[in-house]
Amino acid sequence: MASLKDLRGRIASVKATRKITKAMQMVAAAKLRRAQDQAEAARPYAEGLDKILGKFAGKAMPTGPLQLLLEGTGKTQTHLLVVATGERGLAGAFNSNIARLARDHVRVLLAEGKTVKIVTIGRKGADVLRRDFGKLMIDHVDLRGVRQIGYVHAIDIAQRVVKRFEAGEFDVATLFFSKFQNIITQKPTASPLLPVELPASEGDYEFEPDEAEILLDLVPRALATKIFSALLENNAGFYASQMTAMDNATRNAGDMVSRYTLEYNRARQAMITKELIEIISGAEAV
Amino acid sequence: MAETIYFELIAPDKRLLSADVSEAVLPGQEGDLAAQAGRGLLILKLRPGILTTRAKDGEKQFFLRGGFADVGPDKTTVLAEYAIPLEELTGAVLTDEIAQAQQALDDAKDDARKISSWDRLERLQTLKIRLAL
Repeated sequence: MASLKDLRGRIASVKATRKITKAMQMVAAAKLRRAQDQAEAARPYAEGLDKILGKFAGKAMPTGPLQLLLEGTGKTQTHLLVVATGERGLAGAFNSNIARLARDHVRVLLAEGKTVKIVTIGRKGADVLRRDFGKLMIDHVDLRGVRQIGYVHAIDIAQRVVKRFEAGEFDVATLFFSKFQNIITQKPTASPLLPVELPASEGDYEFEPDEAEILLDLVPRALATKIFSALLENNAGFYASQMTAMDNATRNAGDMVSRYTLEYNRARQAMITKELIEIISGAEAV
Repeated sequence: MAETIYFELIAPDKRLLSADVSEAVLPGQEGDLAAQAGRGLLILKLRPGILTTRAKDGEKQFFLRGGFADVGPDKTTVLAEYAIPLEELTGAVLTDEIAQAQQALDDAKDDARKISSWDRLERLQTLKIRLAL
């Protein structure tokens, strides 16, 4: 049985940990609110762009560099997996759930004889995937120094991916991220990135200038917007997950403190009883 | 009062305006276009320039870097790559925009992108002179 001094030490240590997890929970809650607002504020643009993109469905596709982005290479041999996770840990299974989904995809593709390449966004996913598929990783986007994710970051990532696509490095690209449903639920998701799919829509539209010129600007923007939305959803999901994880940790620490305190009181009581018996026995002997 | 349309101005990270307006003058790639009630369905590519909305409560102006407009008979949505109220547009913002356009022109690989970047750069330079910023 642990001594009283040991137990006092353990109680103090767990209480200190509880203070830290409580503080982290509160920070995560504040950041979650901001991240949620940001993700919600970005939705109308993404939806609007999707709607405009849909007006081009069924139209004659332009030739040139755009044709590649819209129609692909015509093959599905080489796959690029863009895996977006958090930059930090202590968020429950948030990062590992996304990495697991990507890992399962890689295994299926490799079993089918496909070639796989991986680009990671976020350190945590990169760390996990590097262990199993280090040789398949061709690029990493580091957002550690970024305080607030902006559209400019998404444009940069989209440009990197498009550059590789145009250089013929892959045939199909898929984006992995976690869809933020609510504070409790974040769903790891695989979403097709390239070639760009045109959503269906109705209405007989005119175009000014012509379709090809609009699409030249619209398609790269749609790609960047998709990545931007994924990054924001991930960000909100990360803080929700961290908040839940830290709430659990705080509660567990509280339980541990109660358990150790009970053990400490019992040990102290036993010691007092023992001392009393010794005193009484001594007195009787005299 | 003329008939109104529902107008939205949306940037990637926020909605800047959402209101009933009698008219929205959009800086189209091939010239300004007034979106009014009853207008036919149109997808319009926007140039860097100034967007003006007119409503009962007055006129509002915004600087856009470019973008797209989904124009319809009772609703118009403008998706701008970057937009700020005109009163917040300073010489420094425009200079930065011009530098970015120049960079895009330098990076453009094919003719179509070169023409598009060059056009954007020229329009921004013209705007800077016009607004004397």
